[in-house]
Amino acid sequence: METRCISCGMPLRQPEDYPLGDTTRDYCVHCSRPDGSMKSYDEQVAGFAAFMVRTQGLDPIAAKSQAIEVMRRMPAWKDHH
Amino acid sequence: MSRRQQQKRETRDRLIAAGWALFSARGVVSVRTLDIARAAGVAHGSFFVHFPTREDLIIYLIDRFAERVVGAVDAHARAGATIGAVLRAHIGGLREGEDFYTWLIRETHLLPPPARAALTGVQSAVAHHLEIVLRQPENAAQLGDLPLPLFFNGWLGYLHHHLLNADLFAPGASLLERRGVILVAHYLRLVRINAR
Repeated sequence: METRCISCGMPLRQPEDYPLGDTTRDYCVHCSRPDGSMKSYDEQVAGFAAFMVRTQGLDPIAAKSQAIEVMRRMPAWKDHH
Repeated sequence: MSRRQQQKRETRDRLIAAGWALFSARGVVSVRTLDIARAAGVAHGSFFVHFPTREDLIIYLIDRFAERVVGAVDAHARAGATIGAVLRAHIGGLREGEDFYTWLIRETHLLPPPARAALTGVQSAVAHHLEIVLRQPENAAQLGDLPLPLFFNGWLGYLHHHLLNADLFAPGASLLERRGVILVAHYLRLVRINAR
């Protein structure tokens, strides 16, 4: 079973998948800030929603609701209220 | 592993296989936990030992399916592939779960919210890898100023129309097997991309 980002579930396979190439982290480059730290819940929702709007043309409010629903099942956000 | 643990593992595998087969054949909405338990040859109560709710199994199956679909596309995203190759890889990834996927899109609004979100997750992951491929200079040049959402939603629309009407396009056969290659070629022609 391969390692997955605890924030978005993406498989972590190569150094470029990790923040700043740091393979000791348990989250991916897309879920990190420029300084390598993991995005907060709100930043992650906003980022994921913006991604869906940009790539799939989703309505921003619907995208936010989908982002929240997807993240609900992720290890990093399971216990977030 | 003890005998008891082994049995437990086998029961779980049987429930997963039975759930996959039944959902693929009859869709998500109409299949009950009792049906799955019976098909797996286990007591009804055993189902809930492994999956607290029916939705947990549905989501588990969607997630495993998603891994295979995204895995297929991902292989091409990294290797510097053509747009056609990535779309064919998408079809290849969907192929072994063709019936399951068709039911998911057919019953989209009837899925429990977490399952719907899991499906959205699959599409997002595919879109992510597609974006990587489309950004590669050779591909970007072909895409021109065609917006990614238009390309992606157009592709899903074209693909889903055929899947949802598979009985008209490929009666008694796999739609993706029979028409997959031509679907990619025609779609690329539609968006005026060199179909390589």
